[in-house]
Amino acid sequence: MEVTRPLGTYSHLYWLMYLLTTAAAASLAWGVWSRVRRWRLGQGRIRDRLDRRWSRTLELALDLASHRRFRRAPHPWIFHALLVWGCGIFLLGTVCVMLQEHFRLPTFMGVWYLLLSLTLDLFAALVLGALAWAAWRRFVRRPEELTRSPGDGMLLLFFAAVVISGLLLEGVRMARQEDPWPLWSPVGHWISGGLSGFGMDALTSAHQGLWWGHLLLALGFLAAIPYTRLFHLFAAPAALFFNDRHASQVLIPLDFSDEETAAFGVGRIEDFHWKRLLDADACTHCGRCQVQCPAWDSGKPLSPKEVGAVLSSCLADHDRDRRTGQTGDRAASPAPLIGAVIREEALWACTTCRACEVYCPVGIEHVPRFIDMRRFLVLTEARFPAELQTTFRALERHGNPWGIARRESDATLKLPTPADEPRAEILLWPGCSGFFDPRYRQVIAALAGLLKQAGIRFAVPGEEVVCCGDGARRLGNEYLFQDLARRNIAVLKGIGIHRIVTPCPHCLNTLSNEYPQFGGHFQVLHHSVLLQNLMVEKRLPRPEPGKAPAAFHDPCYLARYAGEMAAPRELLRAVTDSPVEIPRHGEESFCCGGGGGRIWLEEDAGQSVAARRIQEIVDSSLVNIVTACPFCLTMLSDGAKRRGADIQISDLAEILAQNIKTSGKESSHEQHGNGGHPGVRHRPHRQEERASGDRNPG
Amino acid sequence: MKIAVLVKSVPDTAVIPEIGPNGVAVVTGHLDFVLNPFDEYAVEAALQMKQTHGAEVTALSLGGEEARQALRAAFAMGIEIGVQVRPPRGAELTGRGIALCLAQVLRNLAPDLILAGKQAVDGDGAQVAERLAEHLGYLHASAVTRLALENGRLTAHQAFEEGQLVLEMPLPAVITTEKGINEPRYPTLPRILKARRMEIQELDAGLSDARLEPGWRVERISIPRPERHRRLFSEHEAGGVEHLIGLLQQKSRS
Repeated sequence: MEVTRPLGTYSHLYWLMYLLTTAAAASLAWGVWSRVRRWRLGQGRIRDRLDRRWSRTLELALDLASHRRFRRAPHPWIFHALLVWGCGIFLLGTVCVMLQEHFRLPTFMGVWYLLLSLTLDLFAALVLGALAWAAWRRFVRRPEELTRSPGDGMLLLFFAAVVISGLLLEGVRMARQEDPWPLWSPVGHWISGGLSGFGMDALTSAHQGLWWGHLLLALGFLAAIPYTRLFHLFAAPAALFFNDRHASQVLIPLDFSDEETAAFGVGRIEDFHWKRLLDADACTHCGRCQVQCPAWDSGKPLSPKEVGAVLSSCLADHDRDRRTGQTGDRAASPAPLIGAVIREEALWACTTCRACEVYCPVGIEHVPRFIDMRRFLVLTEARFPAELQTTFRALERHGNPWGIARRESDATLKLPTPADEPRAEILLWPGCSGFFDPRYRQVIAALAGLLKQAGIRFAVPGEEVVCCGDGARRLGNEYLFQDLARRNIAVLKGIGIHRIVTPCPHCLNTLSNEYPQFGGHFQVLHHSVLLQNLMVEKRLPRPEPGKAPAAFHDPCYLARYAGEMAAPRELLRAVTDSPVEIPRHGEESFCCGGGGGRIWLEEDAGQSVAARRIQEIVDSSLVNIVTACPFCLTMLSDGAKRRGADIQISDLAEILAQNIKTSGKESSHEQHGNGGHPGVRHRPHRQEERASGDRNPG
Repeated sequence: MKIAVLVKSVPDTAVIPEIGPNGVAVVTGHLDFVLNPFDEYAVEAALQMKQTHGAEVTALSLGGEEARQALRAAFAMGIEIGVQVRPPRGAELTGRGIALCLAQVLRNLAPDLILAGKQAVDGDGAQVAERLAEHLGYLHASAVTRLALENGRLTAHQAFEEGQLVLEMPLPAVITTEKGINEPRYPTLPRILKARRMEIQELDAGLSDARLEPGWRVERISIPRPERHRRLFSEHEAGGVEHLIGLLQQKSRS
């Protein structure tokens, strides 16, 4: 006896089934095509995102199968995974039946059939459970960030109806005709038990009704995908497949060669790259980005979710206007995006921290779209917060955002220039903070001392280098950025040292990831990586770890942009016996509020982002915070001061230098320490001394 | 209504200037030139008047290539007409000479209002606009922090340490602008790119050298190097903080 189940009860009406299927498929195809068509209104070519095809496919498969992008606390993900996996299993089951029925392939037979039957039943039950969970979450628990739109409940019911009709169909089949393997269809078996009282005629007509009912529901579900929220079944995998992991790290450069260009940046919806339009449509408004957004969290008028939602509806309007023939009017007075659809304040509130992108389950590239629109405001309209004019002018005239003449500051940095050190193997790039911020100069001094101690020949670029341009670029001033970048690249090429180390994660990103766009190819290391290597190679002594607990605050541009989370922690372990973690850390770290040029802007609305982070630090009873970014150092120190919190914020290099020095003294190898170097001698202020005292009792 | 704005390129103040070997001139060869910051206020004021009163605005700059740079900067801000006034060849001009040259051209242009920065930050002469007013017989107000035009009459505010002077005058007039009068606009990129291609009219001052002689000569230029007093106070030395407080109090009294 063949191990399978009876199929083909209604085979004489298969033509009708195929007719209906074709209609559903046509509806699906038309709906998808009309969405794809409107994405094509955007800029760029499909080719832009078709590199690495195999790894894109593989990563998408992994995303769907493992739900790895969903699995971030505190957001629930298992119910969604069950729905996705369930849909996959249902599709597999249906395809197997089809192959068996029409192509006589043994896809619904034997042990495979039994396993499939069992899995289908189990997943049907699990999916119903997941739908109930989703409904509970949506209608009872109602998380603030989740957008509930009318019709959501209907879709859940629709989905449930497909599954329930399938299970009932199975139950009726098993009641009508005894199944020799009832335990492999446990749910159907259970249902059939309840149907034993019905006569054969009743069961036969119920079976007929359910078979067609199930078919119609399933086809209706497919047909409805492009016209409802279910569209994310198509758009989300598309967004994931076409996702560019480096979209925020390496922004699309603007071309200024055509002097006739009337507008730069994105002022109208179709100015966006097509992937941004796809992203707008792929969003399901789950709101994870909003929960994690430092701007939203601190009360600014920015929700990455809402921006996506308005862009999507703006795209729909624009597409409709085009189709209904209003093209002429629109071309004459293009629909403005900013001000009308998106508030300017929202655009300026973004710190480019990328928390939204890390938390987005569907790979939406949030940050670049803010910068696209900032570019329009700055370059085309010259509309930006007043204080930015000072920053831009300072960068234009002095090459640094503070507007300090380089010559005035040089005297105190006292480090060798490439001319002083022709055999330098490493170029130490201090960044603007390193040159001009008195507090951060201590970090450079500490780092320089450590390099010296490790016997590394290094030089610091002369006064001809300017700001790397990260701030200008992320504030939307692409023109200024490209000017700064080209100047630096010319200087760096002239210096000829291709290995660069910098303590600033923003410089790190710009120099290593963005300068290649303009022909500058340099090997750039963050100081945490270099210092860790030096320690592993024993070129730096391993200090006696302190006793006081210390935590590392991951800078956004180090953890999320550069993916470097290990080296700083290795170094932290070298300086403290009890390394601890701030609740949000690593890739899920919380911004200090200084990125994306925000450090140059006033923070008028709501609380300050730094205050929110300090709150988290205070709540965790942490006193010693180590970081590795000049902006984090400034913002968090200011935040702690403003709150009057007794928190010590230091850079990795400082802590390391200090601990090596103290350990050296303890083991009376003073000449081995860096006490002789004038740069490292930094008089710690009171808190710092107490903190380090805690770490090094005695 | 016609408005003329006088603009000048000045060496970028970011760079510390160098004095030539003769000791009487600053080496300008390597310096970047920017639009005189006080002239930016004048340009902005002119553009605002253009917006509200529909004036025709012409920017003028005296000199060679650097004058064209100043005009391009004014174009980038929104000026549509630019005139480069070429001084007589080889003439060494001071405020007096510049005013004479410009007066020649402006007499023909006959603007109702002349706007200029209160001074150029290169030599800080603050001479040209005032001399021009005299040559042309215009009324004038210097270092104006607020300016309004109503029914053909100007109201200009001049700020002093203890208060302000409000002047009311008919046109034609010369007004020089002081910081605070407005927030000069940041040029948009399409305008910057357009400014590079805009036409600059050229006019000769048409004066003989003899009339332009300053009548005086520079003996010596020096850069003051103020001695900086640096003293470290520390909470770790006995009475360090008290000492610092005392010193600061003493300074604030003196």
